[in-house]
Amino acid sequence: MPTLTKNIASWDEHCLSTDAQFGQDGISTEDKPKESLEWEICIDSLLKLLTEAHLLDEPRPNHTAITNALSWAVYLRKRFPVAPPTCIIPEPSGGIIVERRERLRNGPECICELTFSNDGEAERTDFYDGRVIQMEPVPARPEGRDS
Amino acid sequence: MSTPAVNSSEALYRQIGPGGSPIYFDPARNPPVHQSRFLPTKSDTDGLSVIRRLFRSEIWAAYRAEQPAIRFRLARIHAHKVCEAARTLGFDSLLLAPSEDGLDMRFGEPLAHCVIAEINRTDYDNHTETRKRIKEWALAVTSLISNNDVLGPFSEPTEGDLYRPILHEEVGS
Repeated sequence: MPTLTKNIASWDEHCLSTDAQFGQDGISTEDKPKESLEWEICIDSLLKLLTEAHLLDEPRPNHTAITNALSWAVYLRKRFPVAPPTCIIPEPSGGIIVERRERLRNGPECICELTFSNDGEAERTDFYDGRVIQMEPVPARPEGRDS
Repeated sequence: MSTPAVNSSEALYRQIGPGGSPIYFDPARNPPVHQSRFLPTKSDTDGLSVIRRLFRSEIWAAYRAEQPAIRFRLARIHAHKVCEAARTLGFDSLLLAPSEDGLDMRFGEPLAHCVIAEINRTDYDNHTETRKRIKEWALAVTSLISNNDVLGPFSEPTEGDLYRPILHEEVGS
């Protein structure tokens, strides 16, 4: 079964494992790609949601879900500057979904979906051509500890 | 009049609340309706709620007596496509079961609200393989929805708005 890590600018499976450490990739300053402008928009949207979530209808994402999503977004922004989310949307049972969707050159669509629940849980679901190829819990925060 | 079984050729509506509006999206990539709108919520213990277009007009289909202040949009789908997507993904079948909601209690039979029994929160939470299949089904169904299939939002219905669509009279008894 294909993984998402080949040929596409996606969120490398390795970086989302519990053992992943920020900054191990050793990318030099000269080699760093220019960050996509969408990252700033995404982070700003999540920051805004911290104070405006009450404007959404129930069930709305709570502070826990939003801060967990924000924590991961900040982490992924540094790790994947050219691969911002393509959608951030409330989860219909309470929580928030951060998603990156990419269509491969040969046609199939890949989706990496991070779901942050109001109860503090987080889950990653990877789709390839409409099928789930991976679905597993991830740490609520990228380094697995509360900030 | 009693409630007939759902016909495979019927059109159904799925309500999409304002919470279905993305906080951020890339217009070049975002589908009209996100797949998460077809996942069972915590209240969908008996199945995913849909409305039968045959028995409720659009303006009433986009209204919930329990949440009168919320302006819903409608995503239109067809029963046979919903069932076909499920079969492709390994469901044996989908049962579309009439199930009374607040407006059905007010206006009586035929019931417009029904549930897709296999797309329920209990199975979604407790069975990993079912959860995967439901996620795949939601993605498959939303891939069938074009911008033309998303209706509304609508204003709050009044007593002057027709509850049963005119086409109801064309249905064979």
